[in-house]
Amino acid sequence: MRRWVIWSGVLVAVAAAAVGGYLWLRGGNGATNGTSADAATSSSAPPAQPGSSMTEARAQRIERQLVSPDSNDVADVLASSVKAAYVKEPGALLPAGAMMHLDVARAEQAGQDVLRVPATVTGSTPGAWIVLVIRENGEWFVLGTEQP
Amino acid sequence: MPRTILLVAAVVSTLVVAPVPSQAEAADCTSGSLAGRVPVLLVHGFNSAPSTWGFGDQHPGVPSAVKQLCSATTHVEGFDYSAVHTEWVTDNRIGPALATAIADLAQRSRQAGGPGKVVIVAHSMGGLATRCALDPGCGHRSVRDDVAGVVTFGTPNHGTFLKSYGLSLPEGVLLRALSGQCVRRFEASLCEFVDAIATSPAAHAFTPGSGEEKRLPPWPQNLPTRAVAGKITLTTSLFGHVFQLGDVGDAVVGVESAHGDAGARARTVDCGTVGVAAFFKLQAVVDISCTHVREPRDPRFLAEAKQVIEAAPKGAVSHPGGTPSLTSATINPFVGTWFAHGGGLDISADMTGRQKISIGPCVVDNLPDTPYCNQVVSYRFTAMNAQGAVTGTVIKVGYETWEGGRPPAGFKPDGDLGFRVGLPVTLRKPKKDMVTVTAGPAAGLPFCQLNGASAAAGECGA
Repeated sequence: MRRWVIWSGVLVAVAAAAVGGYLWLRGGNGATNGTSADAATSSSAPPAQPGSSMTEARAQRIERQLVSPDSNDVADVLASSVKAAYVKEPGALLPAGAMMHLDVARAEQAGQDVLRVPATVTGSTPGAWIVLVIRENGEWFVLGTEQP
Repeated sequence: MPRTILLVAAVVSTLVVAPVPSQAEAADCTSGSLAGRVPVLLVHGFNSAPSTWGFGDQHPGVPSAVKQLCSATTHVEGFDYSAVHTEWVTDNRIGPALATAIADLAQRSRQAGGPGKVVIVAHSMGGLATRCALDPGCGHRSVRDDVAGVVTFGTPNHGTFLKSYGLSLPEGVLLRALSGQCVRRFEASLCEFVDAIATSPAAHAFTPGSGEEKRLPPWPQNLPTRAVAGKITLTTSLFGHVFQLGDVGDAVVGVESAHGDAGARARTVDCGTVGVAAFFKLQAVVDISCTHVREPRDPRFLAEAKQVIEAAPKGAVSHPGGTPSLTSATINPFVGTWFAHGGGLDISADMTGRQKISIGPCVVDNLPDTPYCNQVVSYRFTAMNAQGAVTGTVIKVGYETWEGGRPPAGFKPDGDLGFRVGLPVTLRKPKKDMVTVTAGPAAGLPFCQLNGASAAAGECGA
């Protein structure tokens, strides 16, 4: 019983630390309450807000260039911080012949000017992905990918 | 499922620490005698409280700074400015109040036969509060000699990147990710509250290059300081190809800012690597072992503090014979306000003294009702001789009216008390509640300490 009490305390402390860390980053440093901790464990995310969606033309350009064997094409659609790292180790990200489709209609807002866009890759290594895009100077660029 | 694993892993990682003292040992460390113990003062940060160090923890098994720093040779206390944590450190309730707390702890240590020199462990803005406290101009008193060393964790010496860095930099990506947490997961009212905090005086001062930051005094020279920074490396993955984007400090304060001007005494704790995609989920904050708010309980940070504490003097400072340099520990018996014969003597811990002696009406042209004047003599004490007497010289002689200010032109004192710049002076404490000052060849003038009230000459026993 006592061990469970201790573990429960630790869990609460860790959750509070996590929320506190976030709050500090937003300008605070740990002032929190139970509702925020509860809310933090929610897994649902809102759809992209009006005005934050990606145009079809921009989506098609990312679809085409991110899977290109030409590293210049790839670099051209990467967020600046990612591009700086990529150009040091350039190369094709997917095998030749790979195709990608972004499902912009199902994009979710992940942060300020950041979207999580579901993507489907076809070719020799097919699969479902989430493409993280970030808006810089009014245009969308790729920040990373993850598997859903 | 993955989130559950991460959470459990985070919990387990917080439990893997060095052995901690028992509850009884911890209690004795925070409330028992200071004799033979290094006094340690823990200073929390912005939007925080002493509880960040583990004061008041109810669970003996949960690691905390208090438990990890407590030992048979330490006495641990916390400085609390949680009621005004959003104010800038020069606020009288933060930096100057901390200076008072340092002086108080040092004095209690000396009175208990301890070293009388405090080790300060400060987190985040607490380090900036300490910089203010250790500067006589900012802290409003001189406590440099009351401090054996300072350790800072994640102190934003050059501000926090979250206030100004470009959004295309890794830090900017991090900021956007965390902004997204507010959009996605938190109540609007809470976000408004947090945004309001971001506009507080302290938050404004955190902007790199801010006027407040530039005006803050540097660390005193020759003070043993250790600046510890957390370093989280941010990566991204593109279809399984991983690229390093750079480090984001401890997710609040960059490494360079946390190191400040510590130079060779700067330390960096490697907090590991995190993918940028994970930062867009709260799990990342849980997953990283030493984000900013976790530093006060992180064993690697506290290990740095322990090293400074172990290097600090543990016993009373002694001066066996010879003419040792004066220290706050040796001058302490004299520090205070002493009165006798209508004159007052203030001696500060910075080894300076100021004696005010009434020397008669400021008679000018034989006009009636002219105010009284005081002769004000300033001393600087520099050494203690083998007999325990403090020696020094007169560094300034002046006059002021009874009401203050400068004496009228042409004023001549009733008599010449013999004080002049360069005159050697000796301060002795012949018995309890009494000091005597001997200036040059003049006879010693007795002064009695009577809680701020002037004493009659006879009470001094002179």
